[in-house]
Amino acid sequence: MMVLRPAKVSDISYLERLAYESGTMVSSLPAKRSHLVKKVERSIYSFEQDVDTPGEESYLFVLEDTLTGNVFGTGAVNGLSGNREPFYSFRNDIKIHSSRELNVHSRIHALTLNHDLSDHSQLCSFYIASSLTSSRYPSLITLGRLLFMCIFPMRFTNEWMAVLPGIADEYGRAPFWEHVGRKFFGIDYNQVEYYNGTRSKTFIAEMMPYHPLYVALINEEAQAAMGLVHKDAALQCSLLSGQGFEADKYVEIFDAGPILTAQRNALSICQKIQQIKLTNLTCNSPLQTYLVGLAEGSSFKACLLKGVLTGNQLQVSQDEIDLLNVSSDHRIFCVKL
Amino acid sequence: MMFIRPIQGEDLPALLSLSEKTGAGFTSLPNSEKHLKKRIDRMINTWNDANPLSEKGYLFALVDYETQAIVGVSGIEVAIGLNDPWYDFHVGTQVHASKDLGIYRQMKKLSLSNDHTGNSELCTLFLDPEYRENKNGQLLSKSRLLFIAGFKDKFSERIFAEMRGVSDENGSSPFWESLGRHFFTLEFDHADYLSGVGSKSFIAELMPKHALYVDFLTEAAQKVIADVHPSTLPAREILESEGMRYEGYVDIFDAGPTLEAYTEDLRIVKQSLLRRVSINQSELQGELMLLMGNESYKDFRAIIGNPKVDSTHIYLTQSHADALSVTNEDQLRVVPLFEKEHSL
Repeated sequence: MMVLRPAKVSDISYLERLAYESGTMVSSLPAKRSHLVKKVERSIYSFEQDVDTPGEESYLFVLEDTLTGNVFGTGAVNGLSGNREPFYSFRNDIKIHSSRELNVHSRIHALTLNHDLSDHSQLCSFYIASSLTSSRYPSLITLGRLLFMCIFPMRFTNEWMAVLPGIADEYGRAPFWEHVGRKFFGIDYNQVEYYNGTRSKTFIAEMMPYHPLYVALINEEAQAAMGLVHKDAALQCSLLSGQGFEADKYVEIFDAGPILTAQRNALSICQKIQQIKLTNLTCNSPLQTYLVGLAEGSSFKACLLKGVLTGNQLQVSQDEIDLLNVSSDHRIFCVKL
Repeated sequence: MMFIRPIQGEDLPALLSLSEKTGAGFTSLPNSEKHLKKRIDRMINTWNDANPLSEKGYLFALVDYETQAIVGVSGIEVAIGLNDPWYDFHVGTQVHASKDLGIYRQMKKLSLSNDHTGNSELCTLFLDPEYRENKNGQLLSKSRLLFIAGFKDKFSERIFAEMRGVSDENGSSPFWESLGRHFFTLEFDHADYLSGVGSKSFIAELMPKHALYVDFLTEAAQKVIADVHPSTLPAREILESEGMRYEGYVDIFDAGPTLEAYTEDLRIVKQSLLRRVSINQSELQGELMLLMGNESYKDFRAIIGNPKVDSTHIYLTQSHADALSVTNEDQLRVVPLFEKEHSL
C-alpha cells in the first residue's frame, strides 16, 4: 500500500536519490545530503511542536510503499512561507497611464519584486518518481497535504499557496531567466536555483531589481513564458486548480512560473472533509476512491482507499485497515475523490 | 556682414518663411503663424519685463546687414518647467552585488527627472541652409552666451541645451521605438511635434514613472543614448567648446544628450572683457577673430570680426558701429570667437 507519511531520518538515502532525479525542477529539494538531513530534522521537530500560530515549521512528507519500505515521492508544507526570510515573488501590477489631452488611456503591466506572500502557508518540494507520474499517487501527495492542513488548522494560516516550476528546457535554459534574471546576476538558471535552495535569501534583495520591470520592455520570448507552468508540473497544477487554487498576479522570480494561491475556506477539500470511522466492507455497492487521512496526536498519514461511505462509516477491506494499524486513538477523515 | 538683434513684431512673416525650411525633427520652430506670433509676443514681453519668470524667454534674429533679411534665429528660455513640468531622463548607475554569491554587477538605469526645473535653456537654433558659411553658425549660437555674460542676473545659475538625438531619414528614432512606443501609440515625429508646441508634459504623463534598466532596451536604443543626430554634431561641438558638458541627462523621446554648465563657468562669461569703441575711417585689423556685443539690453547687437583691440579700446569701422548700434566711447563686450585662441 502507498502511504503518505512524515519523513524519517532513515529516508535520507531515498530522498537523496529523488532530489538528484528531480534536478532543478524542485529548488526546495536540492541534492545535497547535509541539506536534506536538515530538512528531515526540521520536519521531525515541526511535527513535535505544539503550534498555535504558524511559524518556522516545515512538514516533509514521503510517499512510501509499505510493502517494500521504498520511498517514491516527496511533498512538504511550510507553516509560514516567509518565516525567517521574506518570501519573494514578482507581482504583475497594472498601472494606468492616461492623458485626457492626448486621448490616451493605456494599461501598463509592470513586475514588482515584493514579499506579499510571506504570510501564506506554502506547499513545496513536490516530486514523484517518473514511473508513478501517471498513477493516482501524485494526487495522494498533493491532496494528502491539503487534508493534513485542513485537519491541523492551527499549524497554518488561512491563505495557502504553491509555486510551480515555469518554462525551462532540458538543458536548464529558462527564457524568463535569460532575458530578465541573467541581466542582474550574470549566471545560469541552474546555478541561481541551486543558490535559491541552499543560501540565505539575502541575495535576492541584493541582486533582484529594485524598480518595477515594465512587461512591455521584456523580451517577447520571456513575456510568453510568464505564468506558464512546466509540462512536468501540469498535473500538480491541475490538481491544485481542481481544488480551487488560482494563478492570480504573482509569478516566481527566476522562471516566472505561476504561483497559485487560495483562501483555505474556498478550497473544495476543506468544504467536503468529513470525520469518519473505518469499518470492514460488508455492503455490495460499487466502490469509490477516497482520500483518507489518519491523525494521531500531531502525526499524520494519508492513503487512497476504495470503499463505500455510509453515514460516518467508510467501509473498506479489513486487510487495508490492518495495514494502516488503525487504533482507537486515530482521528480519521476522508474526502471522496 | 551679419549681425544679431532681438526679434521684433514685424519679423513674423520672415520667421514663418524661415520655419518652412526647418524640415522634420526641428520642433521648436513650428510652421504655424499662431505659434510663432505667440512666441514673438512672449519674447517682446520679456524684454519689456511684462511677463512672469515662468514665461520669460529671448529670441534673437541673425540679420544680413546689406539686405536686412532674417536668415537665422536662436533663443534662450530663462527658467523652464515652472508652468508645465520639464522632464528628462537621468542616466544613473545601480549596483547589484552579493558578497555571499560573489557577484557584482553595475546596471545603467534611466529615471524620469525634473532636475532642470528653473534652469535657463539655450534653444531654437536654426540657420537658413544657404547661410551655413562664414562662421554664421558660431555667431548665432555664441551671441546668446555673450548676452548672458552681459546680463547674468536675468538668468539662472545653471544653463543647459537639449541636443537632437538620433533618428533615421524616415524620422524614426531607435530609442522611441524601444521605449516610448510601448507606452502609447503615437509616432515619434508626432510626439516630437507635440513636444515642440508645448505639449511635452502631456506626453510625459504617459511615460514610465519608475526607473528603467537600460539593459531592457534594444541594442539599437542602448547605443543611441546620449548620442546626437549627425546634423547636430556641429552644434554640440560649439557648446562643448564653450564649457558645456553632458552630465547624464537625456531627452525622454529620442535620448539626445542635455549639455549643461554653471553660467559662471561658460568660457564667454569668464573671458569676455569690456572695451570702449573708437570709430576709424580705415579698417584696423587685429589678430583674433572676435565676438562683440553691445551693452544694450533692449537693443542688443552682436557681430563677429577681427578689428584691432588694445587694453582700452576696440577700433571699429563705421559699418561695424552701425551694425552694433554704438558710437565712440560706448562699451562693447568682447571675447575671442574660438576657445583655442589666446585670450585678450
